[in-house]
Amino acid sequence: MKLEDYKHLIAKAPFGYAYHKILLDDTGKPIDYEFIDINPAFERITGLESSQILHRKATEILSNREEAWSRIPVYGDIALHGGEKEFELYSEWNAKWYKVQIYSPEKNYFVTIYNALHSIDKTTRVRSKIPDVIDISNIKHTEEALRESEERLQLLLNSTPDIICFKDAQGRWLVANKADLELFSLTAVDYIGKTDMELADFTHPVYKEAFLTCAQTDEKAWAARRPCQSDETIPLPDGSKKIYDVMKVPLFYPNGERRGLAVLGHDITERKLAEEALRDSQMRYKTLFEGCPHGILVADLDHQQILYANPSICYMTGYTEAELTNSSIFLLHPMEERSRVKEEFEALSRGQKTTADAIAFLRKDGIVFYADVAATLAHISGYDCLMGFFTDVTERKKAEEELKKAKSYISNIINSMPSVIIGVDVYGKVTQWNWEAERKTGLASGEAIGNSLEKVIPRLAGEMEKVRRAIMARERQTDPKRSYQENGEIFYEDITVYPLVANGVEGAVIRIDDVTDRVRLEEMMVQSEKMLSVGGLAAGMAHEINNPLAGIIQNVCNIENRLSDLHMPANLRSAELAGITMEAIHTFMESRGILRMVRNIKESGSRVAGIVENMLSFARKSEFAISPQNISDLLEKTLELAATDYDLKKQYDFKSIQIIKEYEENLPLVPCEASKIQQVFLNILSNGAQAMHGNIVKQKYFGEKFSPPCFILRLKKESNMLCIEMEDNGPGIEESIRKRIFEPFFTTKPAGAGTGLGLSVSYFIITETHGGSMSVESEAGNGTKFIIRLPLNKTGNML
Amino acid sequence: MKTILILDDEQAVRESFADYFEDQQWRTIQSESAEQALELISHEKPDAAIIDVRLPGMNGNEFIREACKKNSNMVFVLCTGSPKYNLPKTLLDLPCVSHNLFKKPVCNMNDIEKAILQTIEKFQGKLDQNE
Repeated sequence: MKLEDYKHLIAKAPFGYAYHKILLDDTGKPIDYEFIDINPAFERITGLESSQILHRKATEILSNREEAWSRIPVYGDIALHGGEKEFELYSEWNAKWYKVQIYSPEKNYFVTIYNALHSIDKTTRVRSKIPDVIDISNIKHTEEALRESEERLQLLLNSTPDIICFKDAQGRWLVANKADLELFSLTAVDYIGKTDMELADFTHPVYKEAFLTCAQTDEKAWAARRPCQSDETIPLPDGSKKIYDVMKVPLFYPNGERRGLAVLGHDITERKLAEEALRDSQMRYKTLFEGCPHGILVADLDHQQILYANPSICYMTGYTEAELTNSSIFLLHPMEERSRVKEEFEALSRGQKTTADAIAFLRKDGIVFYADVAATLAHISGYDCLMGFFTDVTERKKAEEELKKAKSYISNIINSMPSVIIGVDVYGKVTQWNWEAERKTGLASGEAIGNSLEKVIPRLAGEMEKVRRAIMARERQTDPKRSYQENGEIFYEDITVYPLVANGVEGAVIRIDDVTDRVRLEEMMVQSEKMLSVGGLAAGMAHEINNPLAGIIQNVCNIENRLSDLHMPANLRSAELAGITMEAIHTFMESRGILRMVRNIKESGSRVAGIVENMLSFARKSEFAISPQNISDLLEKTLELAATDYDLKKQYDFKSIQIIKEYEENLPLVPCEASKIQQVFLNILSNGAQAMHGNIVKQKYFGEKFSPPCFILRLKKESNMLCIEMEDNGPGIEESIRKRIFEPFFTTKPAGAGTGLGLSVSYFIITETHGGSMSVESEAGNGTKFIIRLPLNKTGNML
Repeated sequence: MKTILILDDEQAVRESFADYFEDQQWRTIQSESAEQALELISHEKPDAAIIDVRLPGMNGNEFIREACKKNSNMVFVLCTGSPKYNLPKTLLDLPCVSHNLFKKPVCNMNDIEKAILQTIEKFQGKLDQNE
């Protein structure tokens, strides 16, 4: 580049430029300088024209500006010894502040560069009324004013909480305000002319890092050649820190060289911390939202559209977040669930409820799952929203369904049991009531459950003690063959109380089995056994009794014959030998009652024979196997037997009873034990005869009209049964007695007159031994009819 | 006059039968055992016999079978105090044995006499036919 080019550059430069020669006195002390060259910018800044000032002494031109004179030593120093200096000055000419940089291009010469200052408050500078640099005529006054101005500026700088610092091109501190010095604990340090790194040694070591960073960001600003903003964190000795929003303004000479750096910092610690806190909490919420294992959907109330969806709900539904966002909430549900979803959504929206259970969801892949939702209203992004938290309950629902199935299976088992099963809690409240319980009590489970046991089945009131004992001892309690009466009938039941011990469910189960039939059968069997053993005993004894009995009876017969038979040849012979007539003997015997006595002996003997015979009837029946029998023959024989039986007892005459036989013809033979069937017939006939006799006696006594006693015997074939009906016209049986007539030991006869076994044994023989049936029909005053059915083939339950 | 054998080990019973039949113009012979009775019938030749079943030694059934061989003109009626006793088929097949079984005590001894006379009549008829 040629000199002309440089001159041109200088002439066009935006900064003011003046080339001076220092003037020395005889001792070599700088006393003045003269203007060698200036550029147009200098003229604009100072108002001085080159024609007026070139090659003229400054003391002449600036005679009124003492302040300008005061800088002569500084200028001289630079011109003579090199180096650089800068200062600021106010140009009254154009009312602007300038930064003035001084350097020496060659010995005895110095250059001043004027750059306009922008970043500093002009009004303050204006008010400071720093005199124009040119005004050197009144230098003393100017210096004073300047000093005052600087003080004010200092005051101003120091009163701001922002940090302010000016550095030269080498990073040396020129001026720093109080806030800055305090920040770096430099208030007691002569900082001027020192670099950041140098200052680091004068203060707390904690700043070292900050100074280093400062120097680096300074360089950045220099490199960028424009104001640079950065956040700088300054650690403090007390362990806390401060954050500043720092603006670094690099200043350059017109020739592009570095001139200085202004550092301005605003304390943003609080804002930063608040921001950080906000960011932290935002992050936390974001993490919560995204990391939440529950699906989260935010939907706006008006459009029922999804605004936000978290990753969990995406995972659950198989949709991406993008697919869900702005979709209708109904997208996520199967068709058939949508009306419910709508209802639930609206209910949740109105705040009527906060949860909805087991809502069906339709995944993108078509799989249905179930989720519970907990919802809350929120105002998000300017919308009224419903925020829902979804928990997948498919497994639970499945488990519930399985549980339900298992439950119904178990209750089916319980219900189908033929026993009454009643569950009770520790307080005796019914918790379970099966079908058999309903059937037996006529009380539906709904009516029974929740009520106390004694209320629903009063007769079980006493069982609560067992329930308590079962629960306490964790042991089964039994109460077998417990009897109770209902409508005059006796029933038997086995009661078993089981404690419930599993899973902490306190309570017990009461099982009731109706064993009435079994108990009655058992009792009958016991009686039957008794009779059989009586029969066995009689059979063993009979021979031993019958022989001496024959000795008594047969001899008595002979005695009677020999004492009373007037025509027996042997009698006549013996009487003649004794010299007496048979007539005389007979008269004697009659008058002394001998023949009566003989007859008494004979009859008593016969009664003993009858008793032995009766006892033997129990024994004989077990000797005969089942064989085909003609029932009408058996009936005939039994009638004969009954006639003699009652003859013996002399109470009434069985022969006087009319017997009407209504037998079908060609009746088949019936497989049975003849003696047992006869025993049954005899029993019915004798009972009937007694009843009719007693009735007639009573009717006679009261003078009532009575019909003669009568039995109607009927035999008829009914498919595979032979039906035998034996009807009397006696007084009949009352209903309450009729029901119990087959019960063992149930008798209406006076004590000692009957054992109460006859009909029960009969019933036992017919139903159990022969597999038949036996029933009784009767009405008080209208006779009694026994109906016996015997199977014609041996399919009956033979014992 | 017909002769009847009373075979019974019970004296009171045996004598009561004997007394009754004597009164009814029978000649009676008594025996308390089957063995003794078998000796008696070989020379006494009774027309009929009342036989107890349970006897010391040989029982009534065996006696009848033996007696038949010795005296083919005799008829037999069994009379027992055992309630379990029934006439065995071997005896029922013999025409000289009454099908009427009498059980002690026999309250009406006229019945047993009738049965004996009937059996004699039937048996005699049979014998006549055979001849």
